[in-house]
Amino acid sequence: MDNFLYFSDSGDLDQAQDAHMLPASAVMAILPDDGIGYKIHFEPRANDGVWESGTPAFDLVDLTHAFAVGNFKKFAKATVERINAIGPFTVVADIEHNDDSISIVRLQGEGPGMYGITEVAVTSAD
Amino acid sequence: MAKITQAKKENFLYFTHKRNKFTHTVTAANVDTDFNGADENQTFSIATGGNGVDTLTAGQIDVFITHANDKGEYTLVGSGYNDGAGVLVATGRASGSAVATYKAGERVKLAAGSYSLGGTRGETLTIDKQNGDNADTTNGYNVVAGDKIDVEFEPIAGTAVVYPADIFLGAKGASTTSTVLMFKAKEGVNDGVDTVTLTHAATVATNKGNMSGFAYISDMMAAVCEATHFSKGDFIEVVDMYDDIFFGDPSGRNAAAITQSIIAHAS
Repeated sequence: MDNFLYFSDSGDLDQAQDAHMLPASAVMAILPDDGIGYKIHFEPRANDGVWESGTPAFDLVDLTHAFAVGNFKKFAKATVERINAIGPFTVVADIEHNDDSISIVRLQGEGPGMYGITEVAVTSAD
Repeated sequence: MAKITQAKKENFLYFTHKRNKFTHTVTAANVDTDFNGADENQTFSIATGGNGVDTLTAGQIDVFITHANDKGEYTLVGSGYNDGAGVLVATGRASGSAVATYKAGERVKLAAGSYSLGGTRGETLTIDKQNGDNADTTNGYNVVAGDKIDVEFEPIAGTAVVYPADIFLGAKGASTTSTVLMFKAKEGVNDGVDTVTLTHAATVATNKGNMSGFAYISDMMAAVCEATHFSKGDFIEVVDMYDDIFFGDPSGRNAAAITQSIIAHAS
């Protein structure tokens, strides 16, 4: 049984891009984006053969946070903990249900506010 | 009895480029003031630990000043640090003077426009002054002896990465002192391979005798990829050049004497 990861942006969940769920087993990499963001690459939900196709194919979750420098490792650690959670459903970032834009992504034992995810953008390969 | 579902757990492997934190206590030599000469610049060498082959750019660092003493208006900072009425923008604390003031121990992040990097690989940090020739009256910042300067590394795309262990394809030796770790491309492109190229010692002394650097790294990669009772679903700093952690050993032991880590993504 996989662990499914949930992401939501603000926006009333009335648009296709407002919320996404992807399986933890589809994670391909976690990378820093710039000073205030990081990205998670997933095998695409379009199921079009990620490493067989001739063109890049991946779903991308781009998370923006309020911290500036030296925090990629901290966010990557927290994200890996969510990826490896028991599941089957794990919220990584739910901005829609946190009016103060404080994400619930955090390491075990750390209180809310340690991680301030302010924006979630998901791009699908299809 | 309800069945407990358990998602697949695997180790996630963390790599960074070679970058070092830099901390320096300002000395009189750094701030020797000649308002008509070139030494007006506040210049610091941040190449103590080296940046590998990377050229550091100003956008990849943040610079912080921790104040040694209380500072009033005699210590000048640019208008970007206060609201014009003596209110410190960084913390919102009123200073009661026309220029923001700081308490001893207060840590302030410099505005991005207040510093630049020079030298061959960006190893020379220059902080603009608020006054004098070539002053930056907006972002400039006059430091004094005793202030502490922290330069923190900003990971940006291509300078750090985390891969799940099952993305690891294998390793190949490029030379006796260079090993290439290969991963399935993060973008899923056909035949694409992401690589992390390590520069290391040719020979590693172990309790089993000497091993080649390649053999040692291969052995360690197999260990960190393997989910065991001790590492199952872990975040493992495989080559963390920033915090000096290698193959998950928090003691900082770098048996293979890895001096460089270059991440390259297929695109």
